[in-house]
Amino acid sequence: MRPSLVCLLLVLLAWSSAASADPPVEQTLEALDRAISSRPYDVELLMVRGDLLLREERPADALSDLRVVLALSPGDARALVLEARALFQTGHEEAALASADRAIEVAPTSFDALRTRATLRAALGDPGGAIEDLDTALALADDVESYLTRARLLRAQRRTLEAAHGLEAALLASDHAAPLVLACVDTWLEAGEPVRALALVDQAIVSAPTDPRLVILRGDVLTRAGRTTEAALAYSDALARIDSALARRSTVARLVDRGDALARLGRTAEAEGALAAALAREPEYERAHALAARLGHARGAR
Amino acid sequence: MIRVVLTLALLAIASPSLALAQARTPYLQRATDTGMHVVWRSAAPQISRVCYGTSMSSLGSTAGSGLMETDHDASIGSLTASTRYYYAVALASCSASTTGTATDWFETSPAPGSTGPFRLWVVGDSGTGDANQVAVRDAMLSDTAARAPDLFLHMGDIAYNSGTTAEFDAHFFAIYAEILRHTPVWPTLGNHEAMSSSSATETGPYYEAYSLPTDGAAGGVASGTEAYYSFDYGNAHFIVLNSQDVSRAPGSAMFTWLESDLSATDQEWQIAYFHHPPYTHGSHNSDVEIQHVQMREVALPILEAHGVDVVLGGHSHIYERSFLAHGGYDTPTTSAGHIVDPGDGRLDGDGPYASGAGGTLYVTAGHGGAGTSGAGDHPMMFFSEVANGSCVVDVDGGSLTLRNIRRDGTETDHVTLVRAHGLTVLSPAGGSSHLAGSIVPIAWTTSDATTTMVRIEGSLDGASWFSIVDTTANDGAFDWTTPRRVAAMARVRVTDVADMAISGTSGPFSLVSTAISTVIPLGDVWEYSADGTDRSDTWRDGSGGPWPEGAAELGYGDGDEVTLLPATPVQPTYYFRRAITVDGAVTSARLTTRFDDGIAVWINGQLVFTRDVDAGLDYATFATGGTDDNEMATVDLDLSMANPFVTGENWIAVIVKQVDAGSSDLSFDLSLDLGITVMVDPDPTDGGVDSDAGSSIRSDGGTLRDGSTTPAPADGGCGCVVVGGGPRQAPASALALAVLLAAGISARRRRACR
Repeated sequence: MRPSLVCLLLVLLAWSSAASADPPVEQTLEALDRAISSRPYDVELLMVRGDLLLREERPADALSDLRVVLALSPGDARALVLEARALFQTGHEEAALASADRAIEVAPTSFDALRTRATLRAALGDPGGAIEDLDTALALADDVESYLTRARLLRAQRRTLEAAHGLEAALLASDHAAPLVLACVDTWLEAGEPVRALALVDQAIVSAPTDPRLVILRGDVLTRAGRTTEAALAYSDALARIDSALARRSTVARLVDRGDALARLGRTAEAEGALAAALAREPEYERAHALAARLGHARGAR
Repeated sequence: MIRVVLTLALLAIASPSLALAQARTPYLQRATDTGMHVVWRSAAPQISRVCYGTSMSSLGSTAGSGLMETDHDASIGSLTASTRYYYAVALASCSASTTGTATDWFETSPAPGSTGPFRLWVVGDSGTGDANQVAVRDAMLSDTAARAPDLFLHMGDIAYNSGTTAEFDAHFFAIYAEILRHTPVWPTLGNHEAMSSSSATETGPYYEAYSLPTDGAAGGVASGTEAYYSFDYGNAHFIVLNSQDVSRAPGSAMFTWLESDLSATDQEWQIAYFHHPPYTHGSHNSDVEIQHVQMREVALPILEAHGVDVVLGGHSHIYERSFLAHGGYDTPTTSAGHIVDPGDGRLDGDGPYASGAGGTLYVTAGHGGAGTSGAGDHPMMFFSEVANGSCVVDVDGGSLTLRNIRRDGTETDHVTLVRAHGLTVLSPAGGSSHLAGSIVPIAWTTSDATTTMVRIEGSLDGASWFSIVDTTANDGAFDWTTPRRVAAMARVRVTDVADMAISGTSGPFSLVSTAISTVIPLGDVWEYSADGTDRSDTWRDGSGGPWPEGAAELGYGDGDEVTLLPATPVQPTYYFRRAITVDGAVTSARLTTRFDDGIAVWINGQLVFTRDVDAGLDYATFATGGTDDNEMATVDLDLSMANPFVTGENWIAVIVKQVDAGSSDLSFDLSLDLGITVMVDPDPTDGGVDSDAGSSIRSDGGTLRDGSTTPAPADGGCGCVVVGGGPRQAPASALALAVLLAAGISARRRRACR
């Protein structure tokens, strides 16, 4: 957003809202409505309202404003990106893609435009095109979320090794961001390369020696490598660390960790006990539900 | 237009340095116990060099690129923790004779984990550049004159109106220049900064202004982005999230990182902050706007599962401070069932909140300068005030106190959290369930060898405390006969009699009126008669003792026995018995036996289970079929016709028979799980927390919510509550059974001593 636009908006809001420089969304929209009613073709005001409506999950209303903006200013890349998102959210998928194409034509180095088109292409069954867009976007900026999306798309196409190598490169560009480490380990395992996964896990443990989840993960990697005795030792080590942490500070997350370690050690009943205690305290904790699903599956398998 | 002109006039008064335009005086970033970044911006290129040293008169050490630049970021490493360093910037060279000034200094962070006191300044939505912002700043400076804050935490909306470079200069760097010279600042991005900056590309004035850790180098794990990050200071871990312009979807990169970061920290205090608070009725409504809703629904379950103590936010132009709360994730938010401690959390009031015991403190600090507004009636909030101000937080070992300093310098609210320090309650475990009136083992451990005697207290609501024992030896264990009351949020607190600071509180646990209890586990001790004596029918009530005792498995011939019984003389029948004490009505019974070859079980003389003894139960009769070695059988006893259990002492009597005189082995073990319902006393308070009750307005403009007594019992406080009911109420699932078994519920057992 250009500063002049913001100044204009804030002047309007200053008159409409005496109390606050950051009024609630509804007040902001009311102020914009009033301003636009007197200046119906003000591109900047329409852009602001369109953006706000889209963020408030009102894409159809946003689309009305954005279409006026684009009629007045057809080459506005930001408006084209917003229009693409609004069209997609209202079910006009092909039109959304066309808007994103146009945005990239106008602004080929717009990270937002590239990422938006990647999302659209992936949703419309063109993962290859989505990956191309993400590659271009990631050449502009190191975005962890985009690296993860790229890897997911590659894995879905069974290009697992490519995904793993891409994540390895992303690790270097992102200071070994934790989400990328976890994704990379998982991908190396899927690629049948537990030794490479193990190297990553060991490196992560050096960086975060107090995280018992990494020790459990190490056990998982060793299991996949067929080194079951070492895996059992890792799980036991993790359990000891968790119990020590629990003695200092009893948290639901640690109880889930405990259940996780116990389950891997085959102590299913104890694992269920730890999990039940965790769920009693925090019924909406996603990791607890994931473990419950796994334990339920294990029970069913027996 | 008049308003705009007035604002600019006030800005000029408040910020004389505005005339200097683009120059930013030195400020401190990425503070750790061993390093510091000194950052500044010059109007014209100058040498990027910092001279520093521990003596103001000798800044002999050098950092920085030494190049001619306008944007400077000098990284200083290999420093000593908790040490003051003086510095000077843009000098041609550094030597032992280089001198500094009394205003340009910084102190390195304490070593992670160290428990010395430190102070935080918490400000949000300050960046107007007007007189309100200045007044808030000056009120803090006046309040903290004797001890300045060690860290400056900004909740976002740092530079109104759109986070431009000029607005950062005028509304942040100029106004806080003297503070920033020696107080490291750790910001989070607000919606107004997002108008000019992008977190996906980490570009724009916000990302140009700050140098934040992406690699976990300041504590925590690497996030790979400056949009969200973490750092340590002393015994606290700070988690800074982005609620504005990164994905807030479950499983997103930020929340994946959050899980990893919180799993990796072992710090005593955990403090999280982000721009959009999860609970607010100020200038914004957290039930309406999507950022608030998503942070509440997605981030809070993670933060609370990891035991984060304090969550701070801004955005809503108001000061709001919650009760100790847990689990309020729904939209719209209700407080019912989510207020862990309905007290005021004040040392000089109802007492501090117990941190680490399942609750979190939520604070909206969006009152740092922008115009305030709102109803201030959020049900999770104990105190709300529609007035500009900021928060000062003092952390000292296991104590954390937050104070609200209004713009006129008045302290209008304070709250203290106390963390168990040096003493950890190991059981009862948080989340466990125990039968009301049963004996619950209390276990604790102390790290301070000087603790000799402790006081133990209990609470049925986590807020009101009663004495369990005034003084007992610090031996780590005490058996507590719980009250006959149903309670969903019971706690136990153990405190050093000589030093109240050494104290620990259990997580919340339940007292229930009906529970499945393993009254006899496998492997327990039994009396036995294995000398060839025919005991006839006179032994099943404990008569004719004493008998020898031994732990199961009892028998011979298999090699897995704990207690070896004689194989000779040949005995068709072996006898086992033991007593249990049941305190309540037995509504279900599950019996599990390991036996070889035939077995019969009586409870209080009533035959309840047989297997392979169809030829008769007298001593000389053999079993009618051989079993597999160590065969297990489980049966749920039908108590609907004739319930053999009585309140008080119950005798469990067993015979195990050989299949013939030549049998090579004998085995016996038995476990008994009982569903027990107890009569509970009515709740004397005849009421409970109505946490959505109305609020009262304080004379100073703050709004206090009335906390009240204790949670109402499930039956409305009128006697026996049957949770499961029925003669045999099977657990809803194996998981439910595991809940109860893991909870360690146990009826009192008395060993036979006749």
